[in-house]
Amino acid sequence: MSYQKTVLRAWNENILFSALVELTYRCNLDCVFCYNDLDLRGKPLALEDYERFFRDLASLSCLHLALSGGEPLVHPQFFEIATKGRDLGFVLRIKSNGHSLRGRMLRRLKEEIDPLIVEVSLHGASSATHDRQTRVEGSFERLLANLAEMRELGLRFKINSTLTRWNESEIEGMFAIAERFGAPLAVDPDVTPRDNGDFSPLEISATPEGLRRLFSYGRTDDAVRQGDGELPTVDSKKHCGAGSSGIAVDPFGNVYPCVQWRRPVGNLHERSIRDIWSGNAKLEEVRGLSERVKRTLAGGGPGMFCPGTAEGLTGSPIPGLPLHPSQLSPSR
Amino acid sequence: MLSDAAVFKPRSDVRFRVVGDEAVIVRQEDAEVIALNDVGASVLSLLDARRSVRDVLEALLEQYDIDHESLASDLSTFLGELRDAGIVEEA
Repeated sequence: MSYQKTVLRAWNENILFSALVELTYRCNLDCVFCYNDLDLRGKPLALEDYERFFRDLASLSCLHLALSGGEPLVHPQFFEIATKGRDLGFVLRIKSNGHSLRGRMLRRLKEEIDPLIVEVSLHGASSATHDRQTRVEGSFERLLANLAEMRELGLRFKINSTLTRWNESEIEGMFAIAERFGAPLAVDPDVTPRDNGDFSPLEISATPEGLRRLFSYGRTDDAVRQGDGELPTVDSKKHCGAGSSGIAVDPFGNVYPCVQWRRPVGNLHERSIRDIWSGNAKLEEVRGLSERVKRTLAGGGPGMFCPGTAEGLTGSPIPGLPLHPSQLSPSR
Repeated sequence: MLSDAAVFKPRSDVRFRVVGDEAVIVRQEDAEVIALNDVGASVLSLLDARRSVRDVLEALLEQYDIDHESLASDLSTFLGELRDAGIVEEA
């Protein structure tokens, strides 16, 4: 049995295999195109809620746990939460902007949490561009220093970037930075709307020329992101694992099929993930839609279509033609 | 041949889950992913830093219809392979 077949089985048999948890929407940067709904309110999950949630996930065979945000490291109980994840045997990913990954924080992360990988964000190949997007002066130079420290410490990391019209002319320089640090660079070709439906981030979407530049760079096969802890699976009836093998959870306990597909299917304050996962009509609908997307695209179409982002953009997760470039591969 | 009294545990960088009747193992140091079949998953689940090889053998004999001698030999070989692959170590 190969890992690919295990993922396929998870998709087909609805085995919850990976979870992305947004611990907080607080952040120490202020990215222009941040997709988080910063106005969303609710009762934040407490440490004991996370502990119960993680235990349930482990009992459901979930292996991959990504801690995200906002900036997860600014959550006041980040280390307590992540330690629980580690103790329960999850393969941990930390999705961070990298701004505070230095000194004692960095050493604690390596020694206490030992994640499989830390994913950090690069917004350009120059201070002018990176800092323009993060709206924090000095963030570029600080990130480069932090990457050097991470490498020296032996922390496994990769670099993520979103292609925008501000940084599209620096794509070669961004790959050069990644190469300098010996880290893979994954470029998301799409800026997505905010989770509250605000389309203003799309104002800095990459231009068609920028997209061509990225895709002609010759590194796109390994540069375009795949989902958390999963491999692309061509033999499934489903288009993706959203709501079938994976979920996303926001800081207030709302559960979604995935980080892009912001259609709530339950809340952890009201029901356990075990209850939400089984016999859930909303999840069944998402799984059915995923099959429909697969069938719709079977006759040809973009291989990187994301039903979640499509629903955010158009109100429908089903692909229609012609497709807007921003509907292509928006994995975060 | 391993000692019956030896006790094994997963190495600290190893994460695994039993998914259905298989085990998915991630060896974090090199990001290697390994899948094991149902018998392999059963063995790995029993390597908890407390059970000896003898205990593991007895637990497996209750689960599988196989003679003691064959299973003991196969278990010893398999544990050696898991150790050589950097998945388990002696506790």
